[in-house]
Amino acid sequence: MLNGIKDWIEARTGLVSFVEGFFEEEIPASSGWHQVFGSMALFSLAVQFLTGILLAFNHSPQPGEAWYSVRYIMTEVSGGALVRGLHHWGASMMVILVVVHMVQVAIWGAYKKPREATWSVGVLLLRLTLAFGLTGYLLNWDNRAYWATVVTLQIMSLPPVVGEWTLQLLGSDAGRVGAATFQRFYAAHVILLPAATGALAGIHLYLVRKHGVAPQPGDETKPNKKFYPEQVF
Amino acid sequence: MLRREFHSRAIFVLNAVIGAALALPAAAYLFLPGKRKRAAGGWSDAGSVSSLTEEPRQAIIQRKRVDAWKTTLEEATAWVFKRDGKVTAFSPSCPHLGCGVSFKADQGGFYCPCHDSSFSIDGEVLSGPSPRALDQFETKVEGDRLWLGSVRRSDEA
Repeated sequence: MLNGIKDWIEARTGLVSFVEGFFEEEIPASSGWHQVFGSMALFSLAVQFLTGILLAFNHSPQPGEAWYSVRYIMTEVSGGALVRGLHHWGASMMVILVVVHMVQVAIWGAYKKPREATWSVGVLLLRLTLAFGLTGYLLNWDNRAYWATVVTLQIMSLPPVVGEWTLQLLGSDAGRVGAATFQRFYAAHVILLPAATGALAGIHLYLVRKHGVAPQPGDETKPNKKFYPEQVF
Repeated sequence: MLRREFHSRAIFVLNAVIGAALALPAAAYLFLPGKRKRAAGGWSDAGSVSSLTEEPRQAIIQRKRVDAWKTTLEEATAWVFKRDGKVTAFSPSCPHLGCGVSFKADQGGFYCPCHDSSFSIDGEVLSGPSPRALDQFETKVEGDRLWLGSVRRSDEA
């Protein structure tokens, strides 16, 4: 029966052979556990998108109501505490995974020619991940979120000229956090950053597929191995 | 079973477990009712009992409305009247699809303009698609004041 379903999908979409193409891809002999962090970061991003959409169904993006709506999610919505917990801890996990992924890429020298663009897009993705964390932190509208954002804005205002412009961009009046700042953080968190991250992650994946996994010196003398089953297991 | 086949199935099961770990909370979040049932708005002052007549009039009441994380005071209305010493307060919502019913003095009953349901002065359905009689507020009289509580469905009374 499963084969029947597989054949039906394959005949209409070509999805099965597309996925099998991924599994049968040849990768360098030195590939191993150290190359799983990018996939884990991508999975973490998917979890953040899913839980973020669920939270948006019940979160009120207004300074006067946000905290009450978060309390409602935590105390009254079925599974709300778990969904928010996944989003909250998943955010920290994602930062860790992206950093570990970058460290691995740096140590293995995978940023070198011809993978400079892949590396550069990855650096942008790290910045976007941190921006997600910064903008999402305020959306609880509790005391910690408020004062942490005040401190952040004060630091942002320090550079001459640019500091003032940054505050203006973030809707802040002299480093204070109000309705405009909250709304801009919210818009960035749920519209701008997801769109930019989705696009850049797509480009990053395309470049990874285009150039393949970076080989280690000495790999050229060894035969390549298949992603499945060698790397999968 | 071959080792490769075993691993293939193990991965399938692992993916299913991960998928379920995400899908189950998401489904609960979207489809299960809230964990805490909050009490409805309590009792609202609907005015003086002695001012009530046999002809229904629309009383404006203020009641607490709990809407997710928001609690607000809202204005609502009720059709109130007194016959044979008994006070009645009908909900103004038609039991059919929730339109507002009005009192037609010339017909001596209530009428819903959306789908032409008509009701007797006792709230019973005379014609139209309404599936049941008009719903009523719980009432209590304290001194000369009429207090209205929750709305009770007429088929559950």
